[in-house]
Amino acid sequence: MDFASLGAAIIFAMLINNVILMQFLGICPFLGVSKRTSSAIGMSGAVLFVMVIASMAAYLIYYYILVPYNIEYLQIIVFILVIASLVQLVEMVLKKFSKPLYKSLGIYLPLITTNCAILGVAQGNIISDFPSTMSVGAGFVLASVTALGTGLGFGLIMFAFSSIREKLESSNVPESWKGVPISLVVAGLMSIAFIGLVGIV
Amino acid sequence: MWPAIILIVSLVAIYIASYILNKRTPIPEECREALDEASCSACSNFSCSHKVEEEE
Amino acid sequence: MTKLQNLTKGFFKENPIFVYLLGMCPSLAVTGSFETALGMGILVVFVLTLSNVAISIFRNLIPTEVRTPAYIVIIATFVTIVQMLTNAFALDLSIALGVFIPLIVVNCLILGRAEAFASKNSIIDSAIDGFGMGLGFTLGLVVIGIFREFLATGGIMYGIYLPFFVDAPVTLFSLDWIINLFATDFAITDYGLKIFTSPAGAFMSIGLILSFINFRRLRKERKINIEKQKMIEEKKRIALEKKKAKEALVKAGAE
Repeated sequence: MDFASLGAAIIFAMLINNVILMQFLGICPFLGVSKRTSSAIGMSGAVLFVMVIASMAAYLIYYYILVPYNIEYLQIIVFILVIASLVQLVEMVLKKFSKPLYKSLGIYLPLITTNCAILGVAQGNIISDFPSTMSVGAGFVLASVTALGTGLGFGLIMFAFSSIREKLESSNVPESWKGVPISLVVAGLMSIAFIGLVGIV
Repeated sequence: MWPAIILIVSLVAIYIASYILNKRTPIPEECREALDEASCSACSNFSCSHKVEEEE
Repeated sequence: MTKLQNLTKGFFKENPIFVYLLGMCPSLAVTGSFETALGMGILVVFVLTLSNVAISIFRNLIPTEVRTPAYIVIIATFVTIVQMLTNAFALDLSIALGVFIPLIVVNCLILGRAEAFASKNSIIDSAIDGFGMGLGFTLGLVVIGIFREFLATGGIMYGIYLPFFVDAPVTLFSLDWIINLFATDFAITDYGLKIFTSPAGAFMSIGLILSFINFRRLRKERKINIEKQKMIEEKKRIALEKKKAKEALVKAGAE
């Protein structure tokens, strides 16, 4: 596996197969925590961090424990438990040892357990079945790089969307479109823009 | 059969242990303001630990 | 609350999608066609009813401290069962829904009902609540699915993903026959708005439907307000007339 293919994997996960606009994962924080740019950045940082670690852990557990013992059917329960305990552990560590980091990222961590983006990426890595074309180790690198790109794509969209939303708040929107409906239309327009990126990799 | 049971039981034990440990770790004082500022109103997440704290 | 109210509250008054905005991820992703929306709805009804019943049975055994972990394990178990059943009986649906079947675990609706209802109520009530809320969710998904598929293709198909009751895919509804009364060799599918099958169309159609619901609600509120205003004015007028009549009476008495 060379460096270029890893870069292509990041670009693909971040821009082309964008987690929010193309795969519809993580819509809850996209609509719920995007009122202010600062909270959007905090949320995306927390998602990026947990997403990378959770995907690595899920990949390792799947290929080194579930596959050898032929118990792949347990993957949903195992993945959700891994993500949930990871979130709890990270939150606890941040609370205890790094107050500034807890202040900026930690307060969004409890929302992440039920964030479909995390579980969706972990599941997607398994569905992509990397070891069918490469070694399990190379697949691990590719899976973590995909998670990194997905997290970056999530952050990019959250930041752009929260900036638009701050402007939108002071604009004159018809009464019945205020709030979520107009945000969804904005998201649709952003999605059209991202269709234009299909094919650059 | 046995690997599955051992795996699930150990994972559940880890989760419950980390959950309880996390709940017992107090939130640092200066972070409480940031918690209040974060707009939780639009979010309908029921598993959020902040929400549980408000109830109690 | 009666049992019937408990069942029907999720349909319109407390609809999970349109009122609470719960489960937005599946309602954007699987509503590209009527059938995938219906299939997802059926799966959610299953999981929600079963998990509500299970949580209600164990509600007094689970210590309050570990409530959330216990709920997540119970829900994940039922989702695994449902995924296996889908793989066995409707493989096309399972392929079409893809990663969104495992993602039922993190659907806020299911954990929300567990926390808010099943952990406090009896088994039968919880079952009814889960079934009704699931049906409400299905209703929301199907409305969005029909809206999108109709705009994209001009008709509604059944039988591609859900191979039940039909041998081959059938068109439930299509604009073709109306237009063919006036013109020949016309296929509505050539004139469909293809954007509504794409992700962009998903966001926009839900935005449109939500704004329509808001519009109806605001108009209703305005009507009620106007009626209230009218009633207040009417009362004022009557009071004024009574006062005048009294004054006239007093005057007549004085004279």
